Amino acid sequence: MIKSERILHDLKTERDVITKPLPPVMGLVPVFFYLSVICAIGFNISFFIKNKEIEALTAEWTNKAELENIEKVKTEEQIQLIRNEDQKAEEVYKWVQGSKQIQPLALSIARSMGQKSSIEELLLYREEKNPHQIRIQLKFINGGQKQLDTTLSAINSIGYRAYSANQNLIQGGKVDYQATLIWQDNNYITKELTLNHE
Amino acid sequence: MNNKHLACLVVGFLIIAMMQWTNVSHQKLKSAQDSEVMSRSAFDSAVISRVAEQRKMVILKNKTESKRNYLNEWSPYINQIKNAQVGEALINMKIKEAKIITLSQVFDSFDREDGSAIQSRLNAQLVLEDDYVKVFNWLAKFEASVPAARVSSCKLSKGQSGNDLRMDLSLDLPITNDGKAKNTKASSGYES
Repeated sequence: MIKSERILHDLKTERDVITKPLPPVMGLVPVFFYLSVICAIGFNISFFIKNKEIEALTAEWTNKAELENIEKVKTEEQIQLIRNEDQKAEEVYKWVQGSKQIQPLALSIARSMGQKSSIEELLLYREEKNPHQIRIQLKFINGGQKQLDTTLSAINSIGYRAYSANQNLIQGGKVDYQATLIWQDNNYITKELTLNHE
Repeated sequence: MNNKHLACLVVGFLIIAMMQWTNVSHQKLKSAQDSEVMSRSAFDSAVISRVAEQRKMVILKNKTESKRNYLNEWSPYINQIKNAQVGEALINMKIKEAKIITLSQVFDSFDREDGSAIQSRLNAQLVLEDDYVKVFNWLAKFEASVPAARVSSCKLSKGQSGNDLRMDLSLDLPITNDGKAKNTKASSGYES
């Protein structure tokens, strides 16, 4: 036994320089290390998962916002279309108001003439700036003021009113009458279509 | 400093590195959360502005409903004349159908304002002379068959014989699909 101890002693030589052990508190260093490894891995995995979820949510909100913006742009386009239609309707309305049938007016004036009276010339025209107004220039012979009153009441009966009238009664019952006729329908664009020949 | 101290230092650095890594990840998460909040608020404001636009559209639709209905109902009549040639042919056909004596006819087409709903108009200067009733009936039928036609001038005077009536007529027809007409004389008139 003694012999073998000697042999071992021979193999393991004495170490001259052995460092001083660290203070006992330093034993916590590996504990902190392992703890921080576990925490770091745990926290980072948790942060990574949350980050992915948040990124997905962000992408979803961004997509939704883009869809909303697209919808808004579409709505704006529709608004523009409606405005264009509205403007077009205004123009058409103005045109139609200036296209009211003139034949009933001319006919009612012609029919209002008494047996002795006779139209020499009847001019009905629309000025380009105010096509809804009709200028009338009527020249007739015989009948005088009485005939003119009859003709004016015939004009009134079909819905026109005379403004800025100017009349010349010439000897022999000849009358030269000028006026502006305005349609008395004050309804603006109604829901129902009213063709001007109706 | 011996090896043990060095090892402790290395381990300490490793701990700090892991703390830093975790901190960086946390900062990244915070900035992601911030951008998520921002994109959510961007979505909210997009929803608000979309809803506002849609409300505006609904109000505008209701406000202009009657006008748009009016336009829809008048569109067939306004679009009745596709171009100047069609307008001329229509007027000639109506005159021929009624067998009215035409003393002269001149057609001109004019452009209207750019972007206007009615892009141009065909102006027809007609001089008709025939029986009083025939002429009046023709005018009534024409105005009824082309409701959008505008009589810009109508001069009535006695015709050459007994019951005849001379009608100097200036007619405007709206043209919507021919925006290229440029004050050109579409057809020369003739006098008889």
